[in-house]
Amino acid sequence: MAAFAAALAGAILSAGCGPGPDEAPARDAHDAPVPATEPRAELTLNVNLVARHDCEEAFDLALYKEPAVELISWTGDAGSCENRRVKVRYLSARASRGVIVSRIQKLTKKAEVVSP
Amino acid sequence: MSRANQKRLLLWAALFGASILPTLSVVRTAMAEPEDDDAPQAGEALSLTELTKKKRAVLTAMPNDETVLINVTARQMPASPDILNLGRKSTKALARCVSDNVDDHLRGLCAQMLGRLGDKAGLTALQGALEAWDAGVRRAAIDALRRMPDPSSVGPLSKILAREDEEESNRAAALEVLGAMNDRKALALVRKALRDDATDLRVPAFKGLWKSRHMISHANLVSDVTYALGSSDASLVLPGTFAASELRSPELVTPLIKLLSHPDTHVRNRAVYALGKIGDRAATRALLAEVPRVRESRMLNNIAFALERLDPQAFYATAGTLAAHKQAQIRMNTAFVLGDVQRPEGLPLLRAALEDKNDTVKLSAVRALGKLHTPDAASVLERYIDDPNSTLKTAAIYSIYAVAGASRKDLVYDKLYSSPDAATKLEAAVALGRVNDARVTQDLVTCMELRTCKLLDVDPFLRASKSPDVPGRTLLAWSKGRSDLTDLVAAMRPEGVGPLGRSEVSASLAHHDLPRTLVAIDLTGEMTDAQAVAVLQPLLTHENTRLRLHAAVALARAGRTEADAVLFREMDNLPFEQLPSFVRLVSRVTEPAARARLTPELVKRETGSDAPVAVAAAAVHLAWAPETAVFRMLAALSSPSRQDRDLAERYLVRNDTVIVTELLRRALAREGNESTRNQLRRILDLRADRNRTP
Repeated sequence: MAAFAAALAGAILSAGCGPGPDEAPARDAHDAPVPATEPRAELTLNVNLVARHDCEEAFDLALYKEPAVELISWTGDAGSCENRRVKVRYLSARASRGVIVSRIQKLTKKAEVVSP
Repeated sequence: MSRANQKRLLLWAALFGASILPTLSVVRTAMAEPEDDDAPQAGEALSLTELTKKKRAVLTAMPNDETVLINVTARQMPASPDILNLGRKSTKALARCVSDNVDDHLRGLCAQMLGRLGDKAGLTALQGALEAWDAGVRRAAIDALRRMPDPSSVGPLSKILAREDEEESNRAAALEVLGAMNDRKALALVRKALRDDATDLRVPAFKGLWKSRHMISHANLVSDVTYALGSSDASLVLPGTFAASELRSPELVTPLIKLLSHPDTHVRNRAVYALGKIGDRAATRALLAEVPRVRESRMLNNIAFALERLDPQAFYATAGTLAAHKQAQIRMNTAFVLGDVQRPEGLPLLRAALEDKNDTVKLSAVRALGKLHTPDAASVLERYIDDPNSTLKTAAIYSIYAVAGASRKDLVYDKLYSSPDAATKLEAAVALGRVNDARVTQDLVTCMELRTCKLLDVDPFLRASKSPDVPGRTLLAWSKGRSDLTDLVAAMRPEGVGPLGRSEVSASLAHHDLPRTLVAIDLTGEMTDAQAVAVLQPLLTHENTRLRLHAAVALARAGRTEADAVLFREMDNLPFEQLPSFVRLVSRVTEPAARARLTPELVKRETGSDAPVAVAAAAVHLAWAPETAVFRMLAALSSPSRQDRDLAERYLVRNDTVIVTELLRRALAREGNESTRNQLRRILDLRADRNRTP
């Protein structure tokens, strides 16, 4: 049924029918500043990322979904997915160290906490 | 020669002379005509000195007398750079020039300069000029209005579309500008033109519509892009493929797949690229089916990248087939692509490629192995380090070095740096410089001096070098005119740089060498040298705006608060097109005290109504305090104004710091608005592409 609907829509569009009325796209959630007074903590880990062309960016995009993660910083060979060192600054009142570590472990092949 | 022949010759000569007479007459007239606008015109008899005086008088009067350009002739018109040097203070006079001068060429010139100023005080004059009799004046006004989008321009621009006698190129330009107006009526006009098969305006209409994309619902945008992709006009299909890459909508996969057999190579390539960006597995089969038919390496690479992204298993299966292809060119490309995707899964295929009978395939595999970031890649290359084929040997050594890093620097030193060939030795020295090997110091300083290597390649080495020779020789090279070394000298702070910089400011000023003066001022500013104040202070009132600005920045860094006011006064008066240079210049301020003093004025401008100034202020702030300032840039990216969005994108792409990449990734991960998300994605891609480009 869905395929039929898609085919029908495609046929209508390809027949040259114009689009419907535009509505202003709704304003949705976006990144927002956090007061400087809110407590922060940092974690440093050695990680092996899931191998793919843009492994570092894919990791970042996934971890930033966690609202308590404020900033990720990388050191080491930027082109590699293995043996990378990452520092994560997070809002410690919103998520515990354990939650952040667990999240990172789920997103990597291997993650070892270096400090603290 | 016989008499008959002489007669014939004379006849031919007479005929030839008669035939070229008109041509000679034209040539004589052309040569008699003045070669520039400074030649006297009817009723004028000004000498060059008088003319220079007149131009100077016109220029001086412009900020205070808005009528001064009404009766000027082309000869008396000051040069464009001199007018732009006045900044927005020239807006009123230029606006009256557009409205009231009778010379169409001058009206067009004034309109063009209003556009470059970007001052909305010129809007009324420009909108009026859309009804000028001369098509060139109308075109200049359309182009200028593009620089200062305002809803009040929609009506006058719409009339351009409605005029029966309007030039097609003006209609096309008007459509693109209408698309940038952030106006629904304008959008409706643009979309109507896109769907109008009877005209040739569909390409500018699509470009205009794409400028309005933040105002269009996803479904309609997909519909418009699908329409462009399905067009029989390749010039409309191509921008459609670019739009599809940004939109990344799975609904566009089917129309993009149809383009894989398009006759235009560029369209085919862009379609594959867009399919890769969309990343929908539905395209896998179609891409795989294309592989045996491909005749160009670029297309093959694009297909491989797309497959790697949307179905890695299928990618490696296909790569395996291609690695055994009967054509060496395809085997070579396969090795190249396996290296470029940088995944260890490519190792077995590349190891097999090392056994290829064709040397170019083997070489491609050796180079690709250096990109895999796996120690196993280095070990399979060891057998080539003494290969009789010197190209293969060199490539293998560099690949091992790329994989193993500094631990194998002696391999490069022993096998390549020791080469009697100067080019091989220098290449090895540059490579060793990347790991700060002090043994190559003399080579790298010399190549910096003689420009035999790229400064970018040796800059980090020279900055980190502990050799006492390096700072002095770098300063010496700078003093001989190497302005490109300014930042390096500033970082090294060699002995004597302060007095030398100050003297260079005075000397280059006396020699009327503006570029060198600016560089010398910047270097002096880097030194925050108290003694430089005496040299720089008088420049705050110099007639050249850029000079005043550079001096103001240098003095502000040295803690001179009187320079702060000059800095912001100039910022508010600068032409729109010079704001990016202003951002680059003020971003050089690193002194915490100066930043703290200047930040409140910047923040005030960030919230102002003048979009170019507001976003420029935010861009400076971003360079100084990225974590705080990024939110103003994000607000600009979500703005209802296309101009705000484009300006923010421009500054975000230009800022090449790692932290801004991180902040953009964070913003992308959390952004709920699709249009803003697409733009963030695009900015990150542009930044990554720039970093990949050597």
